[in-house]
Amino acid sequence: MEEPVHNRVEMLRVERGRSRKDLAEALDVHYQTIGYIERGEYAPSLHLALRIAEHFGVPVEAVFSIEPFAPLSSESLLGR
Amino acid sequence: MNRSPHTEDSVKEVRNRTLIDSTMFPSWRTRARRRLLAAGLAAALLTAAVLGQIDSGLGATLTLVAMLLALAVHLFLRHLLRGIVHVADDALDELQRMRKDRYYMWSYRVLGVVVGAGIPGALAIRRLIGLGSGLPGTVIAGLVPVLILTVATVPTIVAGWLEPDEPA
Repeated sequence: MEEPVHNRVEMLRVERGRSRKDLAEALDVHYQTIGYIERGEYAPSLHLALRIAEHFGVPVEAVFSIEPFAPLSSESLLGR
Repeated sequence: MNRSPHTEDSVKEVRNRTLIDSTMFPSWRTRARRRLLAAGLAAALLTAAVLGQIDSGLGATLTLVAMLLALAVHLFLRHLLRGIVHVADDALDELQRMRKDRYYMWSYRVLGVVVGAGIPGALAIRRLIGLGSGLPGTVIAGLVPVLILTVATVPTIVAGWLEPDEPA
């Protein structure tokens, strides 16, 4: 069974007030593909992952991870 | 691949035009309903193949009816699938291309079973029930269109069965 790839695509997209269709158009993919990526049902190719990170202006490892992302309110992120 | 901005725009237009972008029949756009249609299409083709072996005018008529029903279900299912198995790869993104490749891979396997086991199996059954060891020319003439329709619609059946539910 394929290892899951965790991502923050939906969080980054919603932060910027973009719809799936907007993001899909910007990345030249179908809007359903964005939906599958956000739900973790599809791990994008390296090229698409890099384009997604570039679109949001963040490092790719801030968008995708093989480990679950820690909640933003976690103690490690708050420096406690 | 380096493309000019104008070429990029025209590629995007072709992509938008070739995939069916429809919201009609929303209640049929679930995996369960698509599987029902895929099973119905397969059943219609099998019925046509069985009826096509009846060497009479009635057999030919019923075969034609079954084939027309199969064609109607195929067109409806193709619409629900947005034409994913029939559009050129240029019109698809990476995920859609991957799914399309998977559907065709399974289609070749299914057709291999149909040709490799289905046809000899049908001939063996005909022999068992006393219809002789061969196929009359008229029966072959009736079954060839069914076989052509089967080859044309198996990718749609496979896609209808395997395509996941659309994300909300």
